[in-house]
Amino acid sequence: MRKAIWLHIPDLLWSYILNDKASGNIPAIVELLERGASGGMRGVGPAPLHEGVLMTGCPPDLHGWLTYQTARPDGYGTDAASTIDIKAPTLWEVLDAAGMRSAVLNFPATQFLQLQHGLVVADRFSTISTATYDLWGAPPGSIYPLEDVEECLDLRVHPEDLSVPQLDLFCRSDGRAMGQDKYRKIVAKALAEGMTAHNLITRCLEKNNYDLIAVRYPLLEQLTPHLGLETHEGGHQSLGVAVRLLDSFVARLNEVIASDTVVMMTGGRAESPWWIAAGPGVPTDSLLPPQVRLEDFFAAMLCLFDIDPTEYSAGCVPESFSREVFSGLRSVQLQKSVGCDLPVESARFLGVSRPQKESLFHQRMKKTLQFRSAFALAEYSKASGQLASAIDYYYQALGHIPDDDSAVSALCYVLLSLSRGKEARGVFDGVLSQRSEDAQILILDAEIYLSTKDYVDAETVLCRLDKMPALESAYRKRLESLRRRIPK
Amino acid sequence: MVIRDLTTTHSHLIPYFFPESRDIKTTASLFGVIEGAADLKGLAILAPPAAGADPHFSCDIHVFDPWRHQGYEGALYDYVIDLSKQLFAPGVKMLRAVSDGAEKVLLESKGFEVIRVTNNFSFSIAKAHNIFNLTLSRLEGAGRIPDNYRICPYSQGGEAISELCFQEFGLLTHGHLKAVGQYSSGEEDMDYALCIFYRDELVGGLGVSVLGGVATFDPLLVSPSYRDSWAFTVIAHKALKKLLADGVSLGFVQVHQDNRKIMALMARLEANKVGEQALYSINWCAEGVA
Repeated sequence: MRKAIWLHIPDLLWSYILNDKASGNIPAIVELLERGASGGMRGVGPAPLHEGVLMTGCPPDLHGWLTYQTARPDGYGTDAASTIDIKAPTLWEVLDAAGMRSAVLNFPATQFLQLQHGLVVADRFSTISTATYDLWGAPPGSIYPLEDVEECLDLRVHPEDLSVPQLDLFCRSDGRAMGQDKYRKIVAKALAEGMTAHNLITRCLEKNNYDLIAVRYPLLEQLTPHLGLETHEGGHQSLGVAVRLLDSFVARLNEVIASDTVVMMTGGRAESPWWIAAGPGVPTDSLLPPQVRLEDFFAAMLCLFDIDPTEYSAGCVPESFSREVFSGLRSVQLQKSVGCDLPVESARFLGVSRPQKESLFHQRMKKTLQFRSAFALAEYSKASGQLASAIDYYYQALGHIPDDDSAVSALCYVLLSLSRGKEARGVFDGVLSQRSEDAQILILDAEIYLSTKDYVDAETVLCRLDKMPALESAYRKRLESLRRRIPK
Repeated sequence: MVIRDLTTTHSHLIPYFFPESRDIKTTASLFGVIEGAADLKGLAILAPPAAGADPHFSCDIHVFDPWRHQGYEGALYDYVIDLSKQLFAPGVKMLRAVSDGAEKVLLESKGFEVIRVTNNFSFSIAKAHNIFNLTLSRLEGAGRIPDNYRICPYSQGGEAISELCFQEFGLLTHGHLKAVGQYSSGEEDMDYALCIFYRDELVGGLGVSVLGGVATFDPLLVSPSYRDSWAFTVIAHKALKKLLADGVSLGFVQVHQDNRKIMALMARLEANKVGEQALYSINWCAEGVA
């Protein structure tokens, strides 16, 4: 029987892995890279769209998980996404239906998931919610089956388990800007949650009774927003230490993983995900083809377990992978989910004793969510080249929040790419024309004028941009290139 | 009888049977008690705390009318308590204040303890107005009422009134959320809710909703720097005067039993106690929970 490990490390950039200088920090990941096939994949829009594709093999409009924060199933407010938000069968659900045992550790949108043969520990299980360990209950639905609760609870790490010297490895110089104590708290939370994930996978490997073990390490994802976006490429101290720590986790796993186990690793940001595959059936030290897609990862995982992916996904296994190992011959039917055969009517006929009065507050939240969902689908459509759908979704998003800068700008750029400058002008003037203090908006304004050949207006806007104090060099370059498009 | 997790399939029922769940900041799990061939007899919800909030889990149960008092309530409470213990929760608190005697007995038999008792009072608006009128006249006679305070609708209290409410009660009360428009007030008339400013500083506010000729009062909010001053009398008097003028004759208020000052006021108003509700929780963490 084949076995696989899937390590998912959001925010570890592909450019970092390929950077000769930085790769000294990640010998274990580089070793995997050298003994397997690897490459960047095309993004599908903002996070978490790509994670949904990896988990389901379906495009975002089919898997349906569009935002990390989603509407609660009871209609009151929002909360972190749960398994209810994923509308397509996930990798582990298909494997479970085929009788395989999966351990799904620390993934978002897995709360309330139940696998007949496997173990689910949702990200909410490790999320720190109390000041001390003693008061830290595991949220209901964050772990299944319940028989494993006690053992998993022992593996949880709370910030109070970490010492100041441990945290200061990450904080020595970086914390000055925001205050050392506050920064220590951020690091402690990220570190504790990352270590819980690692403890869980180590325990599952030791038990050696799972066909697939999938784990998500959120350490970099949690630290980068507090330290700026691109810093860890340049070797930012805290992130450098965090990357080395993650690599040591991978090194430790490499030591205990059996040689016949296929190791899959994914990561990166939503716009630039990557995939490393190593183990039986995968060619060594090779590149994945440039057209490889996120869906292909899902297809390869199913084929590895001899399951035909075509019923679930349009993805396909990279050609260089051995068809003997990645065979995908067996067809698997999913069973109905637990509980859906219960008659809701028995409750409904009794009458509704206290009707829901949806509050205005929740209506406003709903609007924001509807906006974000439509925006995510627009970005996905744009990334996959379906510009007409992208335009529809952007308009849909603006129907919910009409003055959102990012949606208006994105819509204008798509319209410009289709030479619909006049329409872009209408959209722009309705919302952004008053915001002349923003360089990005002035550039868009000038681009629209150039597309409609209004060169005088374009020049006026560019002059305003030119006079902006302390204009960043990227904007200055852009300004010069736009100026060159004005006929003399 | 079996209890099954229905979160992924039946959560849309939660608002109908557990309207208080709107006060929870996290997604609740839903469990159903089922007898025989998949016949649902009752439901329970269990929600974890939001980050940084009271670490108790929150729970509630609802058994459908024909099957009440047939053992399903006890089974659901046992399930919720056992699950919470298994999940290492430090304790569980009831989401809803309980007024039903049989339910109180059941909760106490399961180890729940009362954490707060709230009395429900009804009183005559006219009598209350007379009492506050007298006090106001006395304060005015003594020159203790400034003449340049400003009365506004409650919703104009802005951030300051929300901050004051949170500071005083540790949460935003339903009356407050309705008065500022964050919760729907349905058919209730919120025009009587008011707040008072003095020299552009918020002095206090009173949430009042009127439905069917009965005024329901939220706890009075008075800024700490105006405690034991003219503020309490002026705010209450203004609200009562307007209610009386519009023909509202009956008032309703909930008062925590340990609030001696307001309990004494209820005695002065000759208010009738029309009910009592208790909030319950159960703890098994040795350290205790704040």
